[in-house]
Amino acid sequence: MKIVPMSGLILNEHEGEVHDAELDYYGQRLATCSSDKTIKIYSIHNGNKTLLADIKGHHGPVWQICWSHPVSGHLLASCSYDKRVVVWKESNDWFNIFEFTHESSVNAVAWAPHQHGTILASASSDGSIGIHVFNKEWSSKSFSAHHNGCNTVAWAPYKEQLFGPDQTEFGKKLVLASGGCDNLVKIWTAEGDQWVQIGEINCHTDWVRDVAWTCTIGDNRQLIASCSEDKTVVVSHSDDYSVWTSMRMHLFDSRVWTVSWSKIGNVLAVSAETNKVSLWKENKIGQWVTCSEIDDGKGGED
Amino acid sequence: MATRWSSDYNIIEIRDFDANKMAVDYTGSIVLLAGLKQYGIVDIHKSPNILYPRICKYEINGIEWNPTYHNQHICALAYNTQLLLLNLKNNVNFDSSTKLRCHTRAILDINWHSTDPNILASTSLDSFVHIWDIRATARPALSLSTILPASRVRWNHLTKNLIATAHCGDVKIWDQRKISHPLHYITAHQNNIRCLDWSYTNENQFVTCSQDCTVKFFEINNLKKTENILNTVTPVWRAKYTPFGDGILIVLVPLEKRVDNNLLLWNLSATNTPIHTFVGHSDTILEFQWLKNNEDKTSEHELITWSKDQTMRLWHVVPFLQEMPMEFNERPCTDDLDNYYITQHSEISNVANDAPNDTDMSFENETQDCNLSISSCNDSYNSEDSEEQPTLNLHQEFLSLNVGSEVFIEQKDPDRRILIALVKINNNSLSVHMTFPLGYPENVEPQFQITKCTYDAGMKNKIHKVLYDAAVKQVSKNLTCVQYCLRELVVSLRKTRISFSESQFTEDDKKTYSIYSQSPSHYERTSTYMSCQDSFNMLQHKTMGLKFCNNGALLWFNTPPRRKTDFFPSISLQKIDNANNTPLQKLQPNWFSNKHSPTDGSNQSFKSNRVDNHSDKPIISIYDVSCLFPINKDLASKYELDITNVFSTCLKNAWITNGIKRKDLVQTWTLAAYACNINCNVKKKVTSSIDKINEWKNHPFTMHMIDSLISHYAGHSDFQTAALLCCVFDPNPVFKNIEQDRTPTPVHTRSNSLFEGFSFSRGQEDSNECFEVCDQGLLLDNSSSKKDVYYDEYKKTYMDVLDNLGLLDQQASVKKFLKHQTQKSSAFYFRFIVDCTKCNGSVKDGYCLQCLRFSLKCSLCNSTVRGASHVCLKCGHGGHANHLIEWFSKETLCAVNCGCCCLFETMSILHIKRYDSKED
Repeated sequence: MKIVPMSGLILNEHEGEVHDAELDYYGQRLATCSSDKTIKIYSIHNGNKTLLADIKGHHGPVWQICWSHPVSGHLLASCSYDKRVVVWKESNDWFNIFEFTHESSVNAVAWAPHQHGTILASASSDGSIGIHVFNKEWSSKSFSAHHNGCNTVAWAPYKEQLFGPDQTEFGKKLVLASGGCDNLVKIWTAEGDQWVQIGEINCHTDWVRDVAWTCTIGDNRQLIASCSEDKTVVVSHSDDYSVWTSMRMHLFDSRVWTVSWSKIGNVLAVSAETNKVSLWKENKIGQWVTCSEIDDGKGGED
Repeated sequence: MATRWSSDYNIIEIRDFDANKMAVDYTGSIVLLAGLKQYGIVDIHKSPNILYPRICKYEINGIEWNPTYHNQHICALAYNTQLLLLNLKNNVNFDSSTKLRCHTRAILDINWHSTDPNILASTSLDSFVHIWDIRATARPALSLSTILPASRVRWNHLTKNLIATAHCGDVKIWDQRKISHPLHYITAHQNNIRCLDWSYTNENQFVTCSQDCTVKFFEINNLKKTENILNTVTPVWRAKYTPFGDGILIVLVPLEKRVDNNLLLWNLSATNTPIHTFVGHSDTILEFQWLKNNEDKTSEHELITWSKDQTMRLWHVVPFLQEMPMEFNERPCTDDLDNYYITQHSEISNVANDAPNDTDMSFENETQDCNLSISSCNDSYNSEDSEEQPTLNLHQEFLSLNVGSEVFIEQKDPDRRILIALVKINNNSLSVHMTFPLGYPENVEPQFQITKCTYDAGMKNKIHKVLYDAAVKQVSKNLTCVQYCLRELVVSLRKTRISFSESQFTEDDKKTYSIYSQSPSHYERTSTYMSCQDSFNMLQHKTMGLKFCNNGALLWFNTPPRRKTDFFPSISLQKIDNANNTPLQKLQPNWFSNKHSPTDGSNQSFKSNRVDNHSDKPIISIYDVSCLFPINKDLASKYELDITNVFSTCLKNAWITNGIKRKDLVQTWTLAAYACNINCNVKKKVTSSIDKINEWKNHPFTMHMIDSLISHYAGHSDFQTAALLCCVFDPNPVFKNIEQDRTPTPVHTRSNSLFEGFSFSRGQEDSNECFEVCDQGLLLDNSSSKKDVYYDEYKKTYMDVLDNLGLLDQQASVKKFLKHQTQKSSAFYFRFIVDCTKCNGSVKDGYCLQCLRFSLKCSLCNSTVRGASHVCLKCGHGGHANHLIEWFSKETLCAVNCGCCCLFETMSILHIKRYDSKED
């Protein structure tokens, strides 16, 4: 069975490689960022795209973008090689409403679950994670996380009542996973004013490139998928954020670049360096099996 | 016309003429400049204005003046497939032109014979090299056929029969008397040859320069002998022999952001270092040519250069320099010579050092400036002492210095052998003063002096040590060290800053940082890290990825390096059936067959997209992978949620699922309907309940069955079915109380105790408690509250999905069934009196200027309301007008589960008298 794309878009407007793309909450708008230092926003309709905005303002390649939940007002966060994290807001044109400068290239940004408020995390090559909170005004805090550079961040999903009424506060904690060049995935939480490490996943032998976090509904297992330059994807699960049991999901042929969980159903999308992409699902006996492959352009469509 | 040049060089600035080619005539005074599609001549002695500008239809690929006295007025100009011979009359005008046509494709290069005034060679993309006799222009006199088109063609300067052609990286040498085969076929370079030139002194020698950053010298009699190779840091644009001595002049293609737009003069017998650098142009040098001093044989050689900065510069090459290449390898410089450049040097050193960077030098400055910066002589003298060492001289090193943004070179003086660099890291700065002893860099490190330092004394010592260590490390290998030292310094300063600021962190962190500050190899480690981050991470950022979007679509983006057609891959789901044996997968073929038509439709639209041909543009594919997940959008919008008659609701839903061919769900809903079918249960007589409507619910099997159905679907991530079953069979009792809970005529009092929004009806705070009065007899209520938590979670998950799909009405319908209503803050109270609840301040347009927030949120979409809004005057719930109009067109109760009949209540408040009178 084959699924052909709903929309196949060629981004003629970009001069350089595209490093990230994301649809907004309602799937109406597509934001892309590129090494040509721009962010572009398209409206997607019936397989056609219309360029809505071309955001210029970064001085270097833009690595990642992230839409916020509509509750925060459809903000767009971006990070770039120019060491800056920028939050953009639309009112007729796109404006830069917040900016934070790290000491090195910023590799990743992620919005916290909207129930926590408007909170943004950024990961930089200087090894630090920045937490930027909007509460009447922006305030930023950064802490050193990975000595050789931090590549990615992911927030724990928000659960109102995670483990029954007696532990209601647990799922409401602000918890963050980060991956870095020290081959570790670290779990952080806010305790008072400080961010402290509460867990660690040590099962990669090379830089961690991407981390994705999901929570199963029902039995409330926390699942973290992490991919690394050691060509592996590891899925770790935990019931309490601090003790993690890891399992190598698969050894790929090349460095793995991204992992992404589906919103429901816990399907994992993995993409590796050599254009190899696949979808994975856990079967009943706890093994991860690939449930689909995407043809990477060798054959035509049939 | 001046016959002698003064020792100053001349600068001719030619404005508004974007030329990229230049040719100088025999006399050395008429210059032909050609831009893309225009050309014109300049008399360099008279005025900097373009004479006789002409427009040409095609791009001009080559221009050259005849280099002989007899035909000095003829200029050849090549554009497209044609060669044009222009005749310049009395330096006044082009009076006639002759066209030579034979090439079938664009001409790439032309060259006049150096001695025979009538012979011209041209090479073209059509792979022929034609040799023309301009007295017979109908056809070429000779044609050399080559397989690869030649990019350059050059006649030998000394013999009349040899001609060289360059084909990509190869060179062919031809004798025009034997044109069937080349005399020699030389594989010279790995990359395209940029320029080729024959020696003026030896008929058998030629030089090639190439994109592969080398200049190679060949001797055609002895091709096996490996000739000298000159390695450069960047590709070489032009390389030409000097008409005097044994030298070569090259132009490098400058790296980006570098300003070394210099001509380098090398002595061929000592190719370690250039012996001279011509400094002055502010942009890339495009062309240079030696001027022949035909009128005054005693005068020196002159050089003319044309640069992108639109200036033409005339350089006066002093005699000692002209002779130097010859003498250089024979004996060291004489005392006289030494004196010569010491005096010269004192005059020019200041300007010469600034020259490369100073792009907007004033004209006066430049004319006063001596044309030579002889500074390098000193170094070449040194390098001669140390014979064949493969080291860069100081001048070279300074020129090629590439330091980060934190370092500013304040002064670099290769003559005095000093360099002053200012380093600024964050708020600290320091100035490093380096002096280079004579032996440097052969195991002699420079001396460092740190001044203007904002760090404390201990840090200063540390910095000194960093510099010293780095320098020793480099010079022990006879390598230059300035760049390395400065980079190491920056890296270590960055690190130390972190280790200071982080010191208040945890013990673990302290430990790791202390390793950095103590370990002797710390600098190496940090430097590898920095180089990794700065170069590696930059290069290796992902250019493709796969991610799930909120609404279940799968997004795939890629920047393929090259692809033949625009291809959007399809996802094949071949393995999913074997993967696990769940109803979800079993049902997929059925399910998908229905989905086929829309995907086919989108397929067509994407085909139409494919027409344009952008082969290396990034592409994005968005897949509808909803077939991977059990939540169906069609069902979501159609499902019934009417709990007043559970039985008929179940049957209706069964019918709806049948409509989209989900046979498993038809079965489920039918089963559910049977479970609550009163008649069915009554027949079996297993219930003793008096409540006829709910009697089936007390049946032990029914409850367990519904429970297990719910957990089954939840277990397979079908939260849609699970949530709906929860809602239908486990409704909130709240509904029962709504009608009775209507408070009488509301009193308009504003309650300050509410923490969000406003209300103006008394009793608002208590209303939630009122609703807690519930009928415990309902359905699955005897189960633990843990189950409620689970069921709520299924509902919330489903609500989330509905929210993403934009099905706000359906979301609100499900929301009403939540057991644990979200905390009060998510109930949205309406504000009518324009006051802020938080600060009691006034509010303008729904926005409190003091609290900086909007106060009204829509109860359907949960987002802030700006613009048209509707609010219930009783319960205070409301939101976007269009959302509520939609809602109340079908519903009567409030969208938030407060049980308020908003329309009725609002009406009653607004028309209070009429309402009252009616009641009466």
